[in-house]
Amino acid sequence: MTERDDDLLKHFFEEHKQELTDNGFSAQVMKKLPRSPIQTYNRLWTFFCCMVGLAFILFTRGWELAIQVARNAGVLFFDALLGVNLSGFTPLVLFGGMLTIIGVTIYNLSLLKD
Amino acid sequence: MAAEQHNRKAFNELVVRYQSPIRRFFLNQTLGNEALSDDLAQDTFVKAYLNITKFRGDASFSTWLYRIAYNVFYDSTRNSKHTEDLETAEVSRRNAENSDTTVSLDIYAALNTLNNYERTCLTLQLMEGQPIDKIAEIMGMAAGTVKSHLFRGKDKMTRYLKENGYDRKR
Repeated sequence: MTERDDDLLKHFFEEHKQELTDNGFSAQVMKKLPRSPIQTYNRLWTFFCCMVGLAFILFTRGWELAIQVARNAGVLFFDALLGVNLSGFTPLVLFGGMLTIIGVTIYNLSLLKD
Repeated sequence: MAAEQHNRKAFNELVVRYQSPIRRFFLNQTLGNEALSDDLAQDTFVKAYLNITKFRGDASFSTWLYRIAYNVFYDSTRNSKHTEDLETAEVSRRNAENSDTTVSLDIYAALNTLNNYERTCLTLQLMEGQPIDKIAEIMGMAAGTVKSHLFRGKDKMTRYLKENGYDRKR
């Protein structure tokens, strides 16, 4: 084997090296991978608990209680809001408080976006 | 459950990264049989997933994956009763499709001049860029044996290329 022969072979293989596009191959492989039995049991258990919860709500007419609780919470919230006495706060303090709330909201929204 | 989802996501990235070289490896071993190559490649990745905990990290991941691929191919040739007939038929079919003599030399026809060991050694070295010690690890043989296969394979391949005028075209 001469150096020229080595070059010949190297050139031939480089020329014929196939680059294969995925074309869904990876997705097919992932579908074929077995799921762990723990994951299957987990899903079955979650489904079972959801069915039990749904049945409980249906039999106890739970939606009526939920509406009552939401109504009471709403009334309490607005009563508390209307009962706030702002006379102890100066406009500057109120403005500073508003700016703080806006600033914290924007900061948290920017974190969510990231 | 979260750990398994994380593992599947990580494994998906490995599949995407290595699907081309592994499928190419099988294409060259099966002399261009795309359907068989993809099946064998899928089996390789499934086996790799099932045995991922056995990867100790003392060899590179690609070497470990090629070793699985080589074993998958070796098992398939042992189980297949008419391997040589299939390979010849595949090459003949491709030659019939490329009957135009101006078309460059078909790599599969060239690889068909080699035996299985020579073909594997040559493609791993010259196409996949694996060094001799890694090829020896992949094929489970001594480096000296790999060198012998490479020597004979290169000799056969060079003679084939010269007989078909490949050196004159360059």
